[in-house]
Amino acid sequence: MVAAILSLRWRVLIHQFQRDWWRLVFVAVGVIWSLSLVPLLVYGSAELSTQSHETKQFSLVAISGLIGFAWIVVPLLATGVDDSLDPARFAPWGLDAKRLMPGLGLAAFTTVPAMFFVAVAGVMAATWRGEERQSAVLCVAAVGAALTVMAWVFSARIATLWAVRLLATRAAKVVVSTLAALAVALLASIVTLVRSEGIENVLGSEATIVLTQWGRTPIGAGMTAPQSIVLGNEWGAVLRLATLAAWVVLLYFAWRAAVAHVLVNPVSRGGGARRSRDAVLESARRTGLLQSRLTPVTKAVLVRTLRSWRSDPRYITQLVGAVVFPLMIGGLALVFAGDAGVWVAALPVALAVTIGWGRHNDIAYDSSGVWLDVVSGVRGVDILRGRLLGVALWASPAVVAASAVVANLAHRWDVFPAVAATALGALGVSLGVAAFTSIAMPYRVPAPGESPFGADAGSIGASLAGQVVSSLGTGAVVPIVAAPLVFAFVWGGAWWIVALVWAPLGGIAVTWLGTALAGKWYDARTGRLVGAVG
Amino acid sequence: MPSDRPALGLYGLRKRFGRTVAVDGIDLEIPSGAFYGLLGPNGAGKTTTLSMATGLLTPDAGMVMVNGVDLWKHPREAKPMLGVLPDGLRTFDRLTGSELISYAGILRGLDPDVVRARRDDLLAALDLGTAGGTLVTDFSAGMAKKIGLACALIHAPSILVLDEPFEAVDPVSATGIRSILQTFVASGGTVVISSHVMALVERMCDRVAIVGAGRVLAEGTLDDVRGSGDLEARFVELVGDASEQRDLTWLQQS
Repeated sequence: MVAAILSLRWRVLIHQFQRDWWRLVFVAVGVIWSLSLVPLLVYGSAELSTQSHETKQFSLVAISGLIGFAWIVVPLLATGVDDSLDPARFAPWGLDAKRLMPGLGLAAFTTVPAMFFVAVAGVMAATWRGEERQSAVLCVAAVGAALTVMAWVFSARIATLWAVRLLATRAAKVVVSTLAALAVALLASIVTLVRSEGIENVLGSEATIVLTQWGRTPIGAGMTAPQSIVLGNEWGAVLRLATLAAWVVLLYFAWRAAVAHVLVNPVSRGGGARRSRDAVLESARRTGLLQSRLTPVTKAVLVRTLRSWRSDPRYITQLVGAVVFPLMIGGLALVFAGDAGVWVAALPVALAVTIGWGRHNDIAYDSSGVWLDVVSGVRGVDILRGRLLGVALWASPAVVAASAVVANLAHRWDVFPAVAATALGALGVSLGVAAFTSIAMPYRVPAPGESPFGADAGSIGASLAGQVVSSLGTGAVVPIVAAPLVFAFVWGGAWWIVALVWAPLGGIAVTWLGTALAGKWYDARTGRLVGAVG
Repeated sequence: MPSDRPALGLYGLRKRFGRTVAVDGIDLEIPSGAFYGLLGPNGAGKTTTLSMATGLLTPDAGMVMVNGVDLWKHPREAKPMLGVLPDGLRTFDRLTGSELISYAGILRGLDPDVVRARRDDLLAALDLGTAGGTLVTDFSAGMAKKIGLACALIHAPSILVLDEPFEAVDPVSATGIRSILQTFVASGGTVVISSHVMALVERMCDRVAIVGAGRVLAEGTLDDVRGSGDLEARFVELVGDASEQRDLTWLQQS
């Protein structure tokens, strides 16, 4: 069975390359990028190997922890992960998880990221050279590194399978909101701590305590075991490796249990929800300030778009990814850059651009229903404005809130109005560009009910092209609305007022123009859209 | 009173996907008031043809006329006359059955009060009463087909184009759908269905076309096409039989 699964993976890979040569380019770029990092890794390892064993231990535990965290988080936030060996695809053949798992386990190490991080772990283990009893230390370091890589890879698989399972339940919103709130609270605590005590003090005290304790857990044990040998504590090393090995075995069985569940429990897509209200009809009757300005079609599209953002796992994962990445980067910037004014402006604007840019393939997420819009002969602009409003209604408060949070952290409430206005303008222009690219270069995404973390075979090349073009378009337009804010930070004076007025106007203008033009293109391309995204 | 102008006219339709020619010059005229069956083996080009006939797929060449209006030149005039049920395409699965029918009605420009009344009628007629509050994502295949049919009917079009409308539908519901469609045709409407089920087509349709390899192999009234035999025999004769099929002796149990 192991040979059959590895052979299957190889065959699927070959067929994917034959169908979409861009995929090969994508893999080649990944390999070249990975290889380009090797000299830096070797240099870092050589430098670190000359330091004290305490420094080595703390550094390696910290790096290992960050990599382990990335292995869990990145596949969940960055959709489009290779899903050629998704266990759910084996369900029709009646195989049990026990027979599948050895093959799936080995195949998990045949991806470019897995092979790269095997090399990274090897370099990390080699950092322990130069210590007394070098052979024993390096031997333990190698075993610890190998087990740590297994823990990284297995954790990622479990996280993805459990996330798919969670997102299909009615508790998904509560759990995702709680996790997001905890992440934000943790980030805010770290920022506050660093800003009150200074980065040097935090690294010298709290970070040391955290890393020491982390090294005692199974997750960090692989990196601390060599130090036990250095200190002459052989049994300590054995204990740490045994703890880590037990953790890996536990992860393996947890993965097997998750696979066994997937094989006989297809994702329950709606969670059994029932609704007595007809939100589409209710919306059609509303005559509020916003509704009276919308066409009936736009109102109907808005209702279903908002429903998707609330309940479709594919949308929820995108929402979390769009918000978390800028917050993480902004948090790090606040930690290391202090209250430099530029970060106050950059974070909310970056958040707005990330959310807007993320909609560059918006129509593809609508693949399940494009046909109904097309056969009904409605205007594309009404569809696009309904979908865009469905994003703006949650994204606008989000970027204003982000502006308020960073203004408060940096004690710069004076710049809050201009920053919030510019962020809203940036959201508008990036959504306007996204409306255009979603019609011009749509590519296939996971269909409703499929794993939201997977990529459709053959979509990688198209997605790469679509992302590059939308990035260029967004990069060209955002500076137009953001420039007055930059000038305000540099020269001050009337530029603050200009930023306050110019950015929202620019945002509205580009959104309006973008959806109008994209709508006309939608009308001209209706006969191609269904095939392109369906 | 049927008019001389065809309800749906397909003229020189062609479609190629890469090296594969899916539709190779199809010409069909479907009279107003006809119950028309489009037959063909898997991969014959039925779905591709119907997709081009309803505005879902741009033809490489050819023309589609809906009651005399060029669909691809004047879609805003032609599409309101069509009710479409495609095969193999999903639909907005986060709406409930009721909401999906309402959504289709709003897209078609109906007043909300009209939509509400027709929605309730359709849910009852298609035996979907309990499904009205259930998310489409939780529907069985047959329920999804019926809700799709409701969406195709809500604006009372003059032509229904239904791709495999009875697939996965239980016999009781199928009887109900048949009755709705036959009443629709009796009142002057036109129905075009694609199907593999010969008995069903013989029972319902008055005209048929058999397509194979993207071309029309036979077309006319049911009696013209089947001749002295039955429709299945004629179908097999036109598209090829299974005489070359390998005998799977290893599958036999005794």
